[in-house]
Amino acid sequence: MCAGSMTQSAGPRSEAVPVDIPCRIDLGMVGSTNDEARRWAAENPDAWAAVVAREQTAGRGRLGRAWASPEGGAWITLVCPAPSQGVASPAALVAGVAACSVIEQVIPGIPTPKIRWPNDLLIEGRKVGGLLGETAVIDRRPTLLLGIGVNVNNRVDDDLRTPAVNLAAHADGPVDLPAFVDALADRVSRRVAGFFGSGWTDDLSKSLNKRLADRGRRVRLEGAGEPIAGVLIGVGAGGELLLEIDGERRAFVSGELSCRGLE
Amino acid sequence: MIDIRKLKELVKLMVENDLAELDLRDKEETVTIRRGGSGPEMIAPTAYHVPIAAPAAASNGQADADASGGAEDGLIAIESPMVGTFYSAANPDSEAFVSAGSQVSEGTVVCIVEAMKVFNEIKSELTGTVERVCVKNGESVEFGQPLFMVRPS
Repeated sequence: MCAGSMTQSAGPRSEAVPVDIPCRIDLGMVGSTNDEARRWAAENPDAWAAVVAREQTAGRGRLGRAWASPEGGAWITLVCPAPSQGVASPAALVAGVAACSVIEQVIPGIPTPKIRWPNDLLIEGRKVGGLLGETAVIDRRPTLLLGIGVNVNNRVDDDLRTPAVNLAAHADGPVDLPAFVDALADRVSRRVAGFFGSGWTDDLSKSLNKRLADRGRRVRLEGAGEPIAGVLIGVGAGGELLLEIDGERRAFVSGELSCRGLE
Repeated sequence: MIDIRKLKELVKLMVENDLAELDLRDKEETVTIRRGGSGPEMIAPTAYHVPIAAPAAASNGQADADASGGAEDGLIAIESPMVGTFYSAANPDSEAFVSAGSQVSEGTVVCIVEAMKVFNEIKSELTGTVERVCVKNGESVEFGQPLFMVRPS
């Protein structure tokens, strides 16, 4: 527990906004910060928190894929009590935009961080981080467990889909990891809490579209079935992906984008 | 009669995507909504999709694609609270959370619905027996779509 480090609104749940950095739980080596956060949230319903690990041994990506998270990176799960399950997915997009802002703030002059819809963070086309959310329903109330991983000073390996990079490669030496983690937890929590209060806005669409990678390019959306190819138009009012396919605009809420073989 | 919540969602979608007309049809109902204003450009209707799962050659005995949902013979539907992709298990190597014949109680996790890489666990809010799984693993689901039919106990 970390009582006192977090102030919560006494008003309706949607107005609960962290006014200080959320309750911070620092861990050493863990399996997965999302799993640790789930346990913490079950014991502390309605509380915001940031679960931070030095290293994850079983970090995961989509559909249980492994996500390498060695020492030197930022491995965080934010615990975000949500007004409904329906807002959890767009909240993860909001968090991605906020994470990009933090990167720019911490490393001035870094090339503009981009978002590959919905959850990859890229710098010059190389993957620097990602987000993966889960919702847990605790006492019939949803809580978003928002996992954020950013390569900071850690060694990176190119995965099969996208070459990787760390922030240190764009800084004049190692990045101050504790300061970066603090800024990330604080800024992203505030933005998510603000979104829970305000809902989706035009400004959010603009911010996300501005940072969206591969706009105007031909892309392929891969999911459970046959891949779908189209031209990436942007995101709609709610964060859904808009593709133009055979002259028709279609919106998607699931899938993974790829440009391989389409250049 | 169409659910008012669904109607509100459709209107919201139209406003958000600046659609002038929306025409939805299925075997039970037809809904056409038109908005005022006559802009010079008609924007193609937008509907939510997920990459379409390949059609199943035959029922796997667990899912019934013809399930129409709604109350029937005392059954109660567990509905999807969002648009997304239905997953019957926590990961591809795990067993399904529940299947036909499973006993569920309030708080039992019955499936996951994923949207934008957020995996939402869906819990039962009633106690009973799962009579039918209405959706196949990996299929897209709509807001309010029945996922399971449960016979309360």
